[in-house]
Amino acid sequence: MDWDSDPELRAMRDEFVGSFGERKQTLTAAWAKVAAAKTADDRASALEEVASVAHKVAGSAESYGFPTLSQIGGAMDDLLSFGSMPAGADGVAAWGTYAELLGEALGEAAISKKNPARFETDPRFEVLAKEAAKAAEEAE
Amino acid sequence: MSTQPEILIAEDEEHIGKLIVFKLTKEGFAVTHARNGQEAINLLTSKDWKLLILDVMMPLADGWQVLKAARENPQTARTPVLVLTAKSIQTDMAKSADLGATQFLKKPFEPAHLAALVKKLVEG
Repeated sequence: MDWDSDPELRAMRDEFVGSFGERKQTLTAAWAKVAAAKTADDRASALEEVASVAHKVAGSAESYGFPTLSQIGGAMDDLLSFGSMPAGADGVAAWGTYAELLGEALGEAAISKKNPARFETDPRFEVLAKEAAKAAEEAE
Repeated sequence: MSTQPEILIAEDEEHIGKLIVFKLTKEGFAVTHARNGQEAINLLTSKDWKLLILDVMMPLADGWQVLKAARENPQTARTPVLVLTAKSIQTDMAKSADLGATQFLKKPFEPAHLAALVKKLVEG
């Protein structure tokens, strides 16, 4: 897509990039609910909110020229849909680093308006991608 | 009356819906955008659709429910259906085929690739 030469396309992409801040806020708030959940039902409900953000980022970002966001969102979506969070505070903390990763990548892309490719070599993404692939494979 | 082929897209992610409408309109199609599955079901018999493009995960009714409703309706029983999903597992593809989808496309996609696929499906 020739994003810069067509004013309508450029406006659509600017609008999409403009949504990153709100997506990051929604993700952060949903993860805070996961961390604070007192019951399994509350935690499952909050995880669904996190998965919804990740799923929508996964399905849209690459089409707008942000493939790294789609990769991180897709891996999170797979892990949240098919994986089981390790029990206890360590499990919450481990998965929390993935939510932070997506939030940081959204935040950086919101400012730079460019694909945040550096996150593809972030150690957190490497672990997330492996865990997501394993969870998806086990779900087949 | 429009001579452009009519396409119904059901997609709740507003930005991806807009991008699809933009690209397919540029390619000469008349596109109607439903923001949830129920809206798509309500629109099924409103026009002579040449193609239905259905996201899977949507509020009110998901893409599978829309596909099932389309196949049960004589007016859309044979209309080509393209299913879109961001999930990466094979079961979604198998379910699409079982319910009568014509084609399956994994999101995210390159808009030009989608447009080429749509042309192929509309032209039969």
